[in-house]
Amino acid sequence: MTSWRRFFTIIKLALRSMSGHLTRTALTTLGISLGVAVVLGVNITNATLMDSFNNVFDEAGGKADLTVQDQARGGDGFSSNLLQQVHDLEGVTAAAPSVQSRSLIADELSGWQASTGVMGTLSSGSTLLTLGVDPGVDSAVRELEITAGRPLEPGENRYVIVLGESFAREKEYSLGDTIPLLLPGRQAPAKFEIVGLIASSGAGLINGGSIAFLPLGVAQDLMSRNGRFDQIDLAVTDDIAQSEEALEEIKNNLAAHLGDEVRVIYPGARGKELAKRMASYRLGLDLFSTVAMFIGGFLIYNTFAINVAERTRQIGLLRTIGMTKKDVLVLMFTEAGLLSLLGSALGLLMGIGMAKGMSTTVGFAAGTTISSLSLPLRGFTRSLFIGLVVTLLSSLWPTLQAINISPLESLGVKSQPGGTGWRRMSWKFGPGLMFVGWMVFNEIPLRDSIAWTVVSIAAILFLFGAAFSVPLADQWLADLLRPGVRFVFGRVGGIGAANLKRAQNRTLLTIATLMLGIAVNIGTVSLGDSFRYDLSRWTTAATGGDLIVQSPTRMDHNLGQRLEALDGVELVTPERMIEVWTTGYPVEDEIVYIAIEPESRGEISQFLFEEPSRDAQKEVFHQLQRGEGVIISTSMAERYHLEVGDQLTLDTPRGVQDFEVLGVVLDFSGNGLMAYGSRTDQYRYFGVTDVDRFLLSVESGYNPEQVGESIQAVLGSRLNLTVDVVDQLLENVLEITDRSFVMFDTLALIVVSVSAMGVVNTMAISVMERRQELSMLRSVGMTRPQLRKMILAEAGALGLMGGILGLGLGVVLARMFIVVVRHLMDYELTNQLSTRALISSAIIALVVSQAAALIPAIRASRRPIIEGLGES
Amino acid sequence: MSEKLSKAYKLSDPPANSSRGKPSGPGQEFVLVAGHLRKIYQVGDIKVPALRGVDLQVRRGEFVAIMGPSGSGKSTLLHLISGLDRPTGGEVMLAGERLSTLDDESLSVLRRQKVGFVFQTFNLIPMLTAQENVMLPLLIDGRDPDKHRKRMDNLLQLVLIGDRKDHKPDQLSGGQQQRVAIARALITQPEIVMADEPTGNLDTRSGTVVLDLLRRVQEGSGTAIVMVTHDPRSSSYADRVVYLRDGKVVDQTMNRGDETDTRRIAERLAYLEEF
Repeated sequence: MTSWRRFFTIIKLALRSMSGHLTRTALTTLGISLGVAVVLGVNITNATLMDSFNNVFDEAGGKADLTVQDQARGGDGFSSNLLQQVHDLEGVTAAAPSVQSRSLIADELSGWQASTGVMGTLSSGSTLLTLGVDPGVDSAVRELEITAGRPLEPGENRYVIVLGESFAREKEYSLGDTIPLLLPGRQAPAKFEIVGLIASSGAGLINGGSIAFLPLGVAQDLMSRNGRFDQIDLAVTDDIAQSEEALEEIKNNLAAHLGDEVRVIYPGARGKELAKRMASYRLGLDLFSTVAMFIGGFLIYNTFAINVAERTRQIGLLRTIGMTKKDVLVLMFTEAGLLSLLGSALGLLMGIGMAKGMSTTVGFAAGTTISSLSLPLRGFTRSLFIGLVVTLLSSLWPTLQAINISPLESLGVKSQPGGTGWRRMSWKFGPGLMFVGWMVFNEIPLRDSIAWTVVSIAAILFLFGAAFSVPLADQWLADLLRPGVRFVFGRVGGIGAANLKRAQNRTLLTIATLMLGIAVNIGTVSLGDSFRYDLSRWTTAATGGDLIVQSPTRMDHNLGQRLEALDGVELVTPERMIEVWTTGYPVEDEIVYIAIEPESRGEISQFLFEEPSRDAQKEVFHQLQRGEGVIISTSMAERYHLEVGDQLTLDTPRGVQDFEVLGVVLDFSGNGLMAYGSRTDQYRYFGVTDVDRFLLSVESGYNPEQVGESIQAVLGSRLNLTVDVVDQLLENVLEITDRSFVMFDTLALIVVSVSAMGVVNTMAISVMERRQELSMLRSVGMTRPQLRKMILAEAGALGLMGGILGLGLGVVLARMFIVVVRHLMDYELTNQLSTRALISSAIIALVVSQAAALIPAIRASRRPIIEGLGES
Repeated sequence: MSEKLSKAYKLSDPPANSSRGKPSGPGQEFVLVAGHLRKIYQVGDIKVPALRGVDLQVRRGEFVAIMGPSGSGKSTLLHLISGLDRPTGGEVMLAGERLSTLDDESLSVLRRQKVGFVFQTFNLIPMLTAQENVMLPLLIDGRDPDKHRKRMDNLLQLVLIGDRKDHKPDQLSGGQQQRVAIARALITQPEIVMADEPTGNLDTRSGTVVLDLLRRVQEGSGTAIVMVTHDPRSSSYADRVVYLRDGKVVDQTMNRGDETDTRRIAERLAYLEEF
C-alpha cells in the first residue's frame, strides 16, 4: 500500500511537471510522435503494398491449389487441349480454365493512356481486367461474392457480364445497364448486359476492383483465344493440398506432363514475386523510419537533458526532503514513459494518416491500386515498442544524471560541472563505428530476410559514429568560423560564438543532431534525384521518336506500313512486351521481354549502352536482327552475372532456349529485369506476332501534334487507336516520377524538422541557464540589440557548424544509399548529389538556428536587469 | 555512542540551562551530536578546508543559531549535520542514527522522517499547490495523506495560509511561501528542523512573522531547530548562538530572551569578524 502511494505521488509529480512545462512536453511529444509515425507509416505502407500484391493474386487464385499459365504471359495463351490432361492427372479434383485481357469502356478511348510506372512496372491506367471463365467449374477455384443481381450461369453463352461493384459505381453503371467494351480481338466495341455486381473481396479485389467476368466462350471469341486458354486454376484433393511435398510433387508431375508451352506455379507466387521486386523500395522506407527514429531519439535525449538541467534544484529539494535515488529514477522514467505513451499514441494516429499518403504514392510507383490500408497489429505493437524503447534509452543518461543530483543543489550549492565524456569517447568510438557501418554497407551481402536488420544496424552504427566524431571537428570549426560570425554579428558575435565552448556536451549534441538531420536530408534527396536522373535519362532515350500509337485492341504488325504511308510520318517501329521466365539460375525471375525491330528502333530511339560506341551499337542491332540474341538491362547483368557474349537462358513455349547477350543497357522496364529481343525471335519462340505500340518519327518540317491529329482522323476511330505526342507523354512520366519521390522528400523534411527541434531546445535552455549572466552583461552596459545579436550569433555559429558537418556527412550518406541500392536492386545508380538539397540544407541550418534563438533572444533582452540579477 | 563522539560531547558540553525553551538537565537526550567534523573541498589541485574539527550538540527542543562571517563554514556545517553531505572526518549522530553508517537510501529515509528543512529560497515545487507542497514529504514516505489531513489543516492555520492552501507558489508572496515551507518541514513531526537563512529573502515584517513562527513551533512541539543565519536579530530568537570562524567553533552564547540579545550578538559577531 505504502509503495503504491509513493508510486502514485511520483506519477502525480511527473504529470504536474509535464503540464507545468507545456511547450517542452509538446516538443518532446512531437519528436516521439514523428518518429513513431514514420515507423508506423512505413510499416503500414509496406504491409499494404505487400497485401495488395499477395491478396490480389491469392484471392484471384482463391481456392485454387495450383495454376497453369502461359509460358509467356501476355502472349497468345496455350492450347485448350491441355485442360483434359490436367483433369486426367490423379489427385486433381477441379480445373477451371480462363482467358483474360485488359479492356476499355469504348467511350473512354480518347484520353486513355497506358503508361509506364516509376519503377518500370506497367501501369494499367484505367483499364478493366476482363476474365472469361466457365461458371460451371469456376466456383471450385474462385470465390465471387455477388452483392446484386446474379452470378454467371453454367453453359451461358451470351454477352452478359458480372462487374466489380466499385468499378461500376465509379463509372456510374448499374445492374441491367449495357456496357460497351473494347476487347483485343475485335475493333468494334462489344456490348454486355450487366447481370451481377461483385463485392471488393475475394476475386473482386483483382486489379483494385476493376474486374469483370464473362462467359468463357464469349471471351475466347472476343479476345482471339479460340481453342486457347491463358490460365487453368486447379484444385487437388485435401490430402495433397495439406502436404507441401505432395503438392510439390503434383506440381512437378503436371509441369512434366503438360510440356513447355505452360508453366505451373503456386497461386499467389506472382504476387510474392512482385512483392519481392518492391523490396528495395520497402527497404528504403524502412531505413528512413530507422533513421527518423534515431534522430528522434537524439531530440528526446536533448529534451530530457534540458529537463534535468532545468530541474536540478527541484530534484535536489526532493532528495533533501527524503526522496531516494530509486524514487528519482522512477520519477524520471515515469515522465519518459508517459511522454512516450502520449507521443506514441499521437504517433499512431499520425502514422495512419501518413500511411494513407505514402501508400497512394508507393502504389502509384508500383503500378498497383491501393484501395484500403492494411493495419498490421505487429506494426502497431512494433511502433509502440520502438517509441517506448527509444524514449527510455534516450532518457537513460539524463536520468542517471538526475539520480546523482546532490541534495545540496536545493541549497544553491552547485555540483561539479559535467564531465567531457563525449569528447573523450569520440576518439575511441566515432571513426571506428563509422568504419564498421561503412563496411557493413559495402561488404555484407544482403539477403532479403535480414536486409532490414543489417541495413538498419549499419545505418545506426554509421550515424552514431558520425555523432561521436563531432568532437573531432567542432573545436577547430568553431575557431574557423569565429571571425566570420564576428564579421556578421559584430564584436558581440565573437562572445556569442565563444559561449558554445561552455556547455560542451549540449553544444556537441545539438551540432550532432543538426548534422544528422541535414545529412539525412541530403542523402535522401540525392537518392531521389539519382533515381529521377536515371529514370528521366532512360525514359527520354528509350521512348524516343515523336509519336506513340497504341490501342486497347490488338494491333497488327502491318499497321506499321499503313502508318508509315501517312503524310509527315518518317519512320515507324513496333514493340511488343511479354513476360517470360529465366531458367536454370539459382534464382528464377519473371522478366519483361520486349520485342523490337532493331534497326528501325535504333533509328528512332536510343539505347543507353554501358559502352556507348556508336559503331558497336550498330553491330549489336545487326546481330539482334539475326536472332537468338538479347540486349539486357544492367540489373539483369548484375543479378545473373552476365556479360556481353554470355548466354541468357529463358523458358519458352518451345523449350529452354539460350540467347546470346549482345549488349547491356540502362533500362527500368519490369523493375530493371528485362531483355530486348527481336520480333523474329518473339514469334519463333513465343508465338507472338501482334504489336503493343508503334513509335513514330515525324519528317522534318512537320509538327508532331498535327501529324498525330491526322493519324487520329484517318485511322484512329476505325482502329481504336490513341496517338500521343512523345514530348507530352514524357512530361507526364517525369511528373509521375517526381510524385513518386515526393514521399522521400517529405520523410527527409520530417527528419530535418525533428533535428531542428533540438536546436530550439538548446537555445532555450542556453538562455535560461544564463539569465543572471545576461543581466550582468546588461548591467555593465550591453544594450538590448547587442544582447540579441550575441544570442543570435551563438545560434548562428551552432547552425553553421551543424550545417557544415551535415553537408560533409550528407555527401558520404548519399554515396552509401547508392551502395545499398546497388546491393538490393543490382543496379548502380548515377550518383546525383542534389544541389537543391545542399542549398536547402544550408538554408535550413541557418534559418532554423536563427529562428530557434529569436524568441529566447528577445525575451532575454526584455527582462529587467534587476530581476535577472536576483536569480541564482 | 562511539568513544569519539562521547568525547566530543564532554569536550563541548552546552550550557546547562537555556534562558528560554524547555528545561534541560542531566539525562536530557541530544537530538544531534557532531564531533570533530572536518570538511575539505578539492578545488582543482588545491584543498580548501571548510571545517576544521567542529563539535556541536543540540538537545531535544533546543533552538540553536549558527552564526559567523562569510566563509566561516556555517552552511557546510548545516549540510553535514543534516546528512546532505558527507564529512571528510568526524562523526554525526542525528536522531539516534550515526550518519556515517547509513547508505544513501537510509539517509533519505532519515531525512524524510526525522528532519525538516527550511531554505532561504523557499524551494517549493512550482507545479504543486500550497497544501500539496506541505503533504509532499508524507507522500514521498508513502503515508496516507487522509490520515494527516487534520494535522495539515492545523499547520496551515498555524502558518496563516489556511485560506490560500490551493494557491500555487507563484501566487503567494515570499513570506507566504516561506510559511508554507515551514509547514512542509513540520508535517512529518520531525525531531529537528534545519533552517538555512530562512529570512534571507524576506522583508523585515515577513521575516519577523517567520521567526515568531519557528519559535512557536519549537516551544509548542519540542522540535529542535538549527538555524544558520548571519542576522543578529534572527539569532536573538534562538536559545543559544554558536559562532564559527575559519571552520571552527570559536564561541557560543546563551540568549536571555530580552531586547539586549540582538545588540550583544551583533557586538560579538563584530568582534569575531574584527579579530
